[in-house]
Amino acid sequence: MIASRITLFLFAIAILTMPFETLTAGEHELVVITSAKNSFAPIARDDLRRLFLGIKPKHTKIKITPINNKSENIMYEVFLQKVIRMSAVAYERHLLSKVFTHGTQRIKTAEEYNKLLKELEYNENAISFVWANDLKQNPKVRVVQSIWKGQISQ
Amino acid sequence: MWKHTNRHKVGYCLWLLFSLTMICNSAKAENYQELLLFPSLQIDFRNADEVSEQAAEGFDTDISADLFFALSYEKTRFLTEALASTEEIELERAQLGWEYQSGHRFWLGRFHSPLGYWNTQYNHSGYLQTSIHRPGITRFEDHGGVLPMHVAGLMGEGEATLGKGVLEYTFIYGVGSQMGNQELESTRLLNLREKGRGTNILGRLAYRPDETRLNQIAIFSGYTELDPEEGLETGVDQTIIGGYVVANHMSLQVIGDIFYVRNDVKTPTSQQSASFVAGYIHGEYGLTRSLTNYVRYEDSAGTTNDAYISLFKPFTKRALVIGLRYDWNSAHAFTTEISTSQDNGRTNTHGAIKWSAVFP
Repeated sequence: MIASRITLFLFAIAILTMPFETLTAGEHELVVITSAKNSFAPIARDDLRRLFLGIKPKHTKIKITPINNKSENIMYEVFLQKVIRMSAVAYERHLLSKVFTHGTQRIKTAEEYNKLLKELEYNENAISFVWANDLKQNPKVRVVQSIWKGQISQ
Repeated sequence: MWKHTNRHKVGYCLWLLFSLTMICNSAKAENYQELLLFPSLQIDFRNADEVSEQAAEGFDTDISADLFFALSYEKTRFLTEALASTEEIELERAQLGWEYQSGHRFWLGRFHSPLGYWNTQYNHSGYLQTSIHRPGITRFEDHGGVLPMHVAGLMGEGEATLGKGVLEYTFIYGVGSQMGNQELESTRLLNLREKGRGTNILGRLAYRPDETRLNQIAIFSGYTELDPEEGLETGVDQTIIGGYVVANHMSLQVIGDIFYVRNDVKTPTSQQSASFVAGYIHGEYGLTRSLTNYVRYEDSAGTTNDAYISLFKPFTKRALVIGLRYDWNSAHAFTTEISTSQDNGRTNTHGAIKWSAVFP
């Protein structure tokens, strides 16, 4: 009885606290970016997925450091759908499990756009992902490749 | 008893000092350290059916914090995990390793036993496992578990590419649990020189057809000598063979694990052999981005009047577990669970709620 009441309570909390984020409707392009100091070529799609899963890439020979960009929920969800092909919960628990089981290094995460730019500047050969529209001709970063282009309806 | 307690306190302090020293000294870019804290608060509600003569009713609360630290310096690895709870303080893992080749490592220390999927995947991290309780066959030694979940000694592990997939291996040679009074006494790093620690030889091979996905199939095997604790007379030589499958499709994950356990139970005056089979199938489904429901069925055969099982407090022969987990902010989880189980002719209904988290 108590457990079922608690279940209903948790369900109500879940519904009420679901994130409602606003993003300008229209076409958006998700791109991989790196510091303007780096000059490596576009990364194979499979290697991109492997990097963000903490697995050694097959075709990319240089050591690349992936940084997850969680500054915006919808952008992060698009990245997870198009590249990782996992839900946020499954992905993040999977990464934690790898650290917990084998002691591997956790993939860095930036919660704010400005902090992301600083991480790209200070970490050699670091990559992340952003909306192309958010770059605003920033001379400190360059676009490595496009991941996805499409419409996001509000 | 005083010396025993003091030795543990010294051990924990040395572990803490070593970990902090490594944090301060690790400076090179390619070297790293990771520190994770998994706190949790769990409340269990119990009710036994009316036919039970030894009904245990009520609720109990457990507050715990599982601290994990890993360090990598050149080819050297160090990994440790300590649990502090309202029930115990224990050094769960302490491993010093060497990555002699990319993807292949030797370790020395205390590890999680590679028997089954659940133990190495989740062990003491309540946040990482979706359900509140572990399957009965994977219970910890001090919670009525009938298999050794911790081993100390030497471990070799690694992975090798096999086409598009990867083959992972784990082999352990060391010492393990002792037969205590109605429960196993797991081995502790600081007690390795104690008499009566039998040999443990364990191994596992797991194959993932796609290295980027979680689907896998594995076989595992072990031989463990459970020598009697001081003052007791019953020892057991145990052989374990089993396998598991993990399958993921979209938001659905299914884990199936099966164990065949053969025990030679020895006393000064007799010896008898017995065997049983136990396993579980656990399914979970992501209803929304934040809500996951799960169901697990556990069963066993050959455990009634089994010479080994009868040495323990009631063993869960069969159980049905259902629950719901809510994830919040990628760092907190709230879980509620109901289960019904049978052990030695008694039916139990059990409810539980839990908050678990991970920092940072």
